Amino acid sequence: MAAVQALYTDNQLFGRMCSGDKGALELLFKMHYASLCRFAKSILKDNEQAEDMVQEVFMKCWDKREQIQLTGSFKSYLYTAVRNHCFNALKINERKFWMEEGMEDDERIAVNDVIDHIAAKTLQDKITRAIELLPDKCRLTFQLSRFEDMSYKEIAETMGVSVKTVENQMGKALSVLRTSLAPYMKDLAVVFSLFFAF
Amino acid sequence: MNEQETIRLITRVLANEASVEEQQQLERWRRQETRNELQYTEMLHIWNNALPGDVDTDKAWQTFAKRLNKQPNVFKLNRIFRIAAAVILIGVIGLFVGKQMSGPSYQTVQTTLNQVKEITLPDGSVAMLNQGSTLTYEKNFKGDVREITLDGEAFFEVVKNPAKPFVITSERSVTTVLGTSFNLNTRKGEAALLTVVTGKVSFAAIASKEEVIVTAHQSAVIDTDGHAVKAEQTDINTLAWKTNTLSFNDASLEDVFKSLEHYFNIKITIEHKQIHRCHFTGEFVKPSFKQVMDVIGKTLQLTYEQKGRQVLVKGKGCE
Repeated sequence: MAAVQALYTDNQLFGRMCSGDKGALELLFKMHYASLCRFAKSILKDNEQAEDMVQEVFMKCWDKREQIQLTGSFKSYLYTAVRNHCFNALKINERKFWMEEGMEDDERIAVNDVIDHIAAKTLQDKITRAIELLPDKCRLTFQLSRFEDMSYKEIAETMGVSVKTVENQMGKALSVLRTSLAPYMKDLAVVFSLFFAF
Repeated sequence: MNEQETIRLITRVLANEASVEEQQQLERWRRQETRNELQYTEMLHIWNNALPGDVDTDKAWQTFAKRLNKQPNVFKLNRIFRIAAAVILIGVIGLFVGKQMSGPSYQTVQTTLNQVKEITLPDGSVAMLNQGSTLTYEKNFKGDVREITLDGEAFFEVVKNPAKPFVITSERSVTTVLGTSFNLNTRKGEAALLTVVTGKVSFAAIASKEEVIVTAHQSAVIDTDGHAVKAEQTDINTLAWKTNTLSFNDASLEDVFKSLEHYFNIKITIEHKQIHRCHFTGEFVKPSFKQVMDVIGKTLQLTYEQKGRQVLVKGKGCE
């Protein structure tokens, strides 16, 4: 992917796509599809619906390519479009999504309960499950930072919230993950203390 | 630092958000107590072991590209373009009518993985199209040649017309005939195999330009390197998909299994090499896979396990 990016920027590809170059559309699709699906999934919590949503966005971009006016990068345009589609599908607006507080502590306890019953084999599986069980906002923020290499600022812009909110959600995500994965960190502690014994 | 501040600091460092000062601050904190270092290690461990979910981008693109190509683009253009397109379209239709539809138009026939189709071509020639194959022909055979493209396998019975050769193009080969019957297997990515039943056929490799003339009861291969090679003997089971007859005459099990794989569209693996050394004689008409394997199994003391299209043959085999 790095090689592809070195050759064309997103916005160059977008320009080519606008003049009807299907190859440019294919490159953009292949570069961003997986990330956008993960992003959509973290809002919708449904793999299939997430993929449908992302394909819908690409289809619209192609159909309306002559009318799209970019204000920033095409990448952030894609994320914003997917975000809006997802919130539309859930019939909630983003403000509501970010404002809903209060459930968090209960959710944290639930996370602990559920993880104990998961028959996940490896620590990685357990972490994957634990991430899925994070409160929506935490999960979304964490995934954008960890998997899509976005900075706090980029996440804030993509989600239409303040950098402070991103910072809070990131801290919460790591803290909840650490608590819910604590039982599986014992081995690590053993290794760690051995390491320090020498 | 309180607990919350600590977690935020570690998170900032992990997320690549921390300034140099913050990184130094964290290092100092980690050195204060081993408990601190443990907390950092745990968080680092979670961070490093978190995996993004699997998304199959290539598969998604395939379905997306299909939708994209189905779209009638004319209807997606804005109004001025639509009017312009309509005007041009009328002009083009006018031209076509003027020339009495003289441009070539093509017909494509496709078979699924469990379907065989018989196609009568415009000149009366018959093509029997095997499973999972695609054949395209020029609708009226108007040009100087009878033009066909094939991806997959088909048996042709070609009506004689020396003035208009019958030309089949595929990924690797160009097959030219005047009038005869033959079987052609040209799957993408595989060698192309021609088996002639009657008459005479020219079989040419696109890559190397090598050409072989193949006559009745002969076969030829264009290998994946693009070379054309003629074989004197033909394996009659090449035509089994059409004749529904599998016939083995003291054939090694290696050859028998190859024929079965082709006919039943399965993959056979063996437990020991010795199994391939066994020989088998027998004929099956409209057989089921179970029938064939039961007979072979009883004769040569072999057993088999089947999972979907995968078959594993077990037993001692032969010396």
